[in-house]
Amino acid sequence: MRVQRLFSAVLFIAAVMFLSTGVLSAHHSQAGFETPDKAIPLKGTVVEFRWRNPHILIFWDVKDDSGKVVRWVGELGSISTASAGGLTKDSLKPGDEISLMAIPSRAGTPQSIISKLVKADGTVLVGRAAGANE
Amino acid sequence: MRNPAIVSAGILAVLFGVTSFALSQHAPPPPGWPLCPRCQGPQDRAQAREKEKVDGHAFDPHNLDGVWGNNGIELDVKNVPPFTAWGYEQYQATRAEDSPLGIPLSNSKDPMMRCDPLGYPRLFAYNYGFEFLQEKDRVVQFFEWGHNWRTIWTDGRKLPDDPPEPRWMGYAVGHWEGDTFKVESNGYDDRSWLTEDRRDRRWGFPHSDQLRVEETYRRTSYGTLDASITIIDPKVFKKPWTTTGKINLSVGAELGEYLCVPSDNDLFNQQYVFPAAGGGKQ
Repeated sequence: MRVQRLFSAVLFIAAVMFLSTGVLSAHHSQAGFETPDKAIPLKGTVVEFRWRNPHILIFWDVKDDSGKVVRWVGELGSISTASAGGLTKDSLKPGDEISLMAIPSRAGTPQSIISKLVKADGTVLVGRAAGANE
Repeated sequence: MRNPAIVSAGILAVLFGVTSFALSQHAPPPPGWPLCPRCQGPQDRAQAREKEKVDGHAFDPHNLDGVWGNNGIELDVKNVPPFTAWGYEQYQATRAEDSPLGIPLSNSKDPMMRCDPLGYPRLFAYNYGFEFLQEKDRVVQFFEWGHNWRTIWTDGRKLPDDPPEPRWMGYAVGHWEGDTFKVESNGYDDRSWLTEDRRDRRWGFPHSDQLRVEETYRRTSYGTLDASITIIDPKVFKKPWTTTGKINLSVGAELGEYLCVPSDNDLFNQQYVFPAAGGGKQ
């Protein structure tokens, strides 16, 4: 699928760029999560935007076709890396409608790593193509 | 079987690559308040280097003052020396626990996961930037991660043969040999890790109370430090373990405050890390 191929390409480029800059630092292992190519699309309503270290968390509700609501939680980088990426503590607030690509947990629980995050007005908070805003 | 290194690289690229590289603008700091080293994006760094005319800038090789790096130098995990039998046991004991589903509970044994101090030399490999402040009788090294420091004494004192009390940051002395600043240290608290095992983050490299560390720092230009670290721990490794690398001056940045806050950290683990593996851990 074209979008998925584009998304994979962006991830690959980002990985190459980042790896070429040196060491990767991360607070915890990602062994409990699927690979980035298994990211799933989700839409929902923000419940909490937790601007905290070690990693920023977003909690959002997703309603399925039967009306059942599932509360998801997704991880971003630390405050400093997210700041470098253009986010602030006010980037999201409860009630905001969001679309995401989320790398789910291997256990099938609603925990995920967020690889793309777009607000209802089209603002891309995470996952814009490198250089697109320069 | 998934390759942990590939999975990690991909996901880390998402967490740190995409969020860092994707957007070029950030919230502006207050006037007169520089960004932290990791809060700078590539554009900020390029602008700061140009503004300060880093390329070709005059420098004193015996002056290390400044904010350096933003990410540490990863220990050379491609050349880990052979473990002693005891060292191998300690290494195996660092493996993360599994959830009832058989999925690793992240790096659950990692002291970082419970906000224990990273200690030294882990802060050499894992930091968000550090600052050297050079005084007549000491060099003080401040770290953004954990918001702590170590003092490298240059007043001629010797390392204690039998340190009376282990320290997370060790006992450190330094001296100049030509243009190279040499640091020796010992007396480390063996509850810290040398580093997480970046081949597979479920493990970490332990050390013993016999750990000695030798480091060198050589300023090769205004904006660059050549650095090396040698881990000497005969209880854990059969040979010394040396890593070399370069550290860039973080021009236009000042250290921020990265504290590991236990209450935030506990929530993060309980609501995110451990449920993601299909199991809880209190």
